[in-house]
Amino acid sequence: MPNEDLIYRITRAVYGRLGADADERVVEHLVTDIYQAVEPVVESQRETDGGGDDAFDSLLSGGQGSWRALSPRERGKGGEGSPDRIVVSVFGVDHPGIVAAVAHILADSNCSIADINQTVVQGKFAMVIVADTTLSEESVAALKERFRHEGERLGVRIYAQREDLFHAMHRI
Amino acid sequence: MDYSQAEILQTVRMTEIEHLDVRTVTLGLSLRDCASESIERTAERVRAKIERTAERLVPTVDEIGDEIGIRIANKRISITPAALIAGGAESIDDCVKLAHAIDEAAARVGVDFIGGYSALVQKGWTRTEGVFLDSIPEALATTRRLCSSVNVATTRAGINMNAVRRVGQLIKQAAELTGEQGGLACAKFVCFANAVEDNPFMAGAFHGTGEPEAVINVGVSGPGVVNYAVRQAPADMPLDEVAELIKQLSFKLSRAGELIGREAARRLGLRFGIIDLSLAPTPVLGDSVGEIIEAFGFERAGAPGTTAALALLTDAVKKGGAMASSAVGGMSGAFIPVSEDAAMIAAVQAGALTLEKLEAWTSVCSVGLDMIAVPGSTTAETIAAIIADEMAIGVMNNKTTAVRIIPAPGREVGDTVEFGGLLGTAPIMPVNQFSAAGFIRRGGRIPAPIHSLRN
Repeated sequence: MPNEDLIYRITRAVYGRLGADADERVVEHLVTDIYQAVEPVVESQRETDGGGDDAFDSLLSGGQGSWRALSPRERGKGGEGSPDRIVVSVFGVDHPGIVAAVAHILADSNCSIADINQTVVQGKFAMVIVADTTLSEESVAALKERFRHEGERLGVRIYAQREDLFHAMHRI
Repeated sequence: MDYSQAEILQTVRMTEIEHLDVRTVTLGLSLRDCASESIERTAERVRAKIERTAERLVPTVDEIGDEIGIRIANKRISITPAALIAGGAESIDDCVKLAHAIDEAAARVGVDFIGGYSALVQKGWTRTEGVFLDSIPEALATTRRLCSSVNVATTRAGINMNAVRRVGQLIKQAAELTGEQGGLACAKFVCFANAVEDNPFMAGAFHGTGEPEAVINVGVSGPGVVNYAVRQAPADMPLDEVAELIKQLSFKLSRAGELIGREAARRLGLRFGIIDLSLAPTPVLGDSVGEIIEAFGFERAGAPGTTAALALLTDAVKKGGAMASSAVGGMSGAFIPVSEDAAMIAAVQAGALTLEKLEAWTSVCSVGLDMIAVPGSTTAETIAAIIADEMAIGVMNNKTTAVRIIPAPGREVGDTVEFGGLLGTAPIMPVNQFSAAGFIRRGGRIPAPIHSLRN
């Protein structure tokens, strides 16, 4: 997956020079050229940084593996919540093994955990996991089916929803 | 974590417990390029275009709903008002052929309703439109998915009373043709004043002439969410604070809807049109506009004061939606379809909610008299007169109003009619027994209103 943060910054710089009225196609070509020139350097840095997930906070929804220069209108929007991340929420009565079971499914389907928050209040278990699905080859439907099945076995409710839904609903 | 646990919990609760759903993703499709010299050729082109454009609609939308985690209840299509492309039609049979082609294409692509077997006749009709209007009862009685609407009035043109009279007769015919199903055809027909061109909700959806080739319009709902919030709020919360609460919720609902609409448009390679945030009840318990109204502090929906409560509700919903998205369109407000709302059905049966009170409600809510079943003995003139009243409210107040009324054959006050699914169960409501025949017989036109001296 390309480094969208970097693309965003290059796009912003190009628009900064050319003005907001610049031809979108010209901007797209310029951004593509610049990105391709610096890509090898960025890639090698990423490997030495050990993945560097933070750099991958998507700023736009370019879809699977595709990316494009931002239009002037889109440039204004930062941190939209990523369509490649899911929020997994788990609620139920606490007992051993819930975190392990959910984490196992995520690991098994090649999703990496970006953030996790878990509490137990008066025996009630609540956990929220933000997981990155970029590398996962499993469909969301299949993943949800596994969560449903596992939830039934564990006696808890497991929901999985895309992160950008939460951003849309709770951030102006 | 970017979101607090309370925020995440709220979203999960809305989608999983309070029935927040995207009521419909509606593909608006222009069929104007399908018109040709013969109706057979037009029907064939219509069929091909619908099947080609909407081929991936249902699976794509289902996939998005699954990913984002919001149920998308219905996938629908709205088309160019069919009367505009029926130029080659010489007879009712010709028009019905077109209706069948549209209905079959809808079945083929798997949508549950297709709207736009429609005509806009607020000032009059052409020869073809005259034939087309006559074909509506048979078209609806012999199809499953097709929905029809007729616009008989606008604020700029006034009310076409000849059309109102004719629609009264069409509704009676449609009811009689489907008498065994309680007059089901009438549940798929709406009569409008100031019809909107980008409405995604049925039965009144059509793809207006000012619209582009194809767009994705989204209808979001969520009476369950608002109902839950108003019920959780303290009973002595002042109304301005209740309005604020509803406004904030409708903001969130609209944003969720827009996310889905834009994603659907992107994946289908179409333009995103509008999001219509309308509180539209379903027969599911709690998912009810009547219950929201009662939660304001009324014993029953229909009690004195409920018009004021509905005004507050509709306005707060519109304000939240307008803040959330620059693409708000359609109806956006609150729907009051009696047969689809458990609390309103109960209120009718308890004698709290009458046709007259519903009429008053329609002056402040987003549409009109919706899914109202009346005795089968109700005359075409009385139905036309009920429509005329409703059209007058719309025309004079510069808003959309509509009538979807079912004179259920053989049924009397006290009976109920079962339509099944989203259309629900309609209690037969009493109608004022005094005649309006002389007024309706006059025909002609009620002139457009003056827009100064407003009081």
